Amino acid sequence: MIGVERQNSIPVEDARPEGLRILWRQYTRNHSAVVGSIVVVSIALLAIFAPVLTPYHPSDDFDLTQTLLPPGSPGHPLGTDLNGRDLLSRMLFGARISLTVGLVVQAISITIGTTVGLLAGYLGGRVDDIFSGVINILYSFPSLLFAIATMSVLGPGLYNIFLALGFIGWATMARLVRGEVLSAKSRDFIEAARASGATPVRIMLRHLLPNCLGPIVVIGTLGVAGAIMSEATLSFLGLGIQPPAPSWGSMLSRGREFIWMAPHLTIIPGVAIFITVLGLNLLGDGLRDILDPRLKE
Amino acid sequence: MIPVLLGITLITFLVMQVVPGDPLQLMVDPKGRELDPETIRAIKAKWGLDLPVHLQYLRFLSNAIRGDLGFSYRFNRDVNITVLERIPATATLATAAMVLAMLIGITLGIASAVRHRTWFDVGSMVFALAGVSTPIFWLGLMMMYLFGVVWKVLPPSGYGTWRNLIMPAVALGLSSSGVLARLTRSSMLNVIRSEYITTARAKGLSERTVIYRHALKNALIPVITILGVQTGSLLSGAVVTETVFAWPGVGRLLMESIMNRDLPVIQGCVLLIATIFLLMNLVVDINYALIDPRIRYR
Repeated sequence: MIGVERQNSIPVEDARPEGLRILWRQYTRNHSAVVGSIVVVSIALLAIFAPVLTPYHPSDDFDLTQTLLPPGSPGHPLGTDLNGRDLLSRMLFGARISLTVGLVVQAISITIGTTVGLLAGYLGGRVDDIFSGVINILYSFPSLLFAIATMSVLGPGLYNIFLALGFIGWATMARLVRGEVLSAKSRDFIEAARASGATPVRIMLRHLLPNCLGPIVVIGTLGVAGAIMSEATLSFLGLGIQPPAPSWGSMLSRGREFIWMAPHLTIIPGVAIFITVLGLNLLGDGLRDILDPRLKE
Repeated sequence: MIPVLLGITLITFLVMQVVPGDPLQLMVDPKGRELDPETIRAIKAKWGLDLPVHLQYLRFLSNAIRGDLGFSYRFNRDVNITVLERIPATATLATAAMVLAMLIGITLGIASAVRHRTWFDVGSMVFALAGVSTPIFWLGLMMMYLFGVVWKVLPPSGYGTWRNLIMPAVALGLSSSGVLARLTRSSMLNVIRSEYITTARAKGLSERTVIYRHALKNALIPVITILGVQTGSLLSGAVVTETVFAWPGVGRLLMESIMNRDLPVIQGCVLLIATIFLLMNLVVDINYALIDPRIRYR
């Protein structure tokens, strides 16, 4: 008997590193995840080291004698904009705005969504009815339309973007977590935890939450891409971040007025949005294959 | 459906309530001259703006049900006429984009599932992901620049002929086509692995018959479910596309009204788009039961 117990206890000790090793192996074999993370990490590094990489300030350094220079001009590898500001500097600092919006909005969505999803799924009954009702209403509103309407009321600005996108974004997360909790709730390990006297809070945080982490990471990553795209769209429409702040969307919106003379002002910010969103989508897709194959539809 | 619709009207109403600035001033005198308190009181009483908020909501709701969405400050006429006359343009654009998205998306999805793990499959999935990751407004501007300005093969913007429709429809439909292609492919792959397909093949049916007569029917069920959701993103996307191409639809009206703070029209547009979206989802749900007999038997 004792021998059997010892044998059983050894693999349990080793389970975590072994699990991580399997995940790592799956990760390195997943082209989508690898390419996606290379893209995302590169953009993050460019954003972090923006002040080191470029001598110009993105909005204060302008030179009205050097406006609308094409890419490849001396001192301005990507050219200059209408006010003679260095486009490369604005692109690099623009990456900061995009990534900040993506991360903050997803942090809000994940916090609210996970809390609501856990409560609704675990407690059930009246609580679930109320939360599910709210989730359904928010979910049945086209999210970009909701953001446009909200921004038209709140007015433009970075913090309002966090509010508008975070406020609708959590519904997706809550729906997902609630579903995961509902399917995990009736399983034996939750029953066992309850029988051994764990409090509801402990069951939710220690037993149910870890079960939802895979899907949360996947949907969160794709959500960062969605938030970046939404911010760019709102800023393009003039409802998001206002010039002279270097948001890619508002740069594109200004650039389109000069598309005949200086198409690079429209092309380059668009390519940046495209690459960033594509990288995040690739990463999210790859993570889905690795962490939660069931999500794949 | 009804609670959701009520929720949407409530959100739309509340959002408009917290707007800073007095719309009344704009409505009566766009130049912003001071009005005497007596006139303001009279106008407020006429439009019910002196009532408590919850009564204002009930008034708004009962008017909305009867098709009265209020009065546009800017156009100086009924909101529902203003909004309704913009519907054909948006409907044309959204329908064209949806048809295009379904044609490209479903064809590409089937073709890459049949050629699973080939270069064609990889290529079309890269295309689909690129489609999903391309900003609509940027794609629109790039097409406008290349086809409209550099090569001059299509009118860069405007409304009226089918030539005007091509670029906006492509810009709007491409991202949905990516979503549909990805979904069709994975759904098709699932179905192809099922036993009844093996049976069909074992009977000696041609691959063509197996795919199009047997597999496709089941593979399209999840695709149809997502069409409702796609309508929502198409309608939101229409706001952007119409702005880029100066297309005179509901989306452009919404943006113009936002810029002019014409609140009743904003409210009307949002309500209209959300309702169409809900109705589309209802239609999809009903069709879902019609198409998939398993749902009815349950």
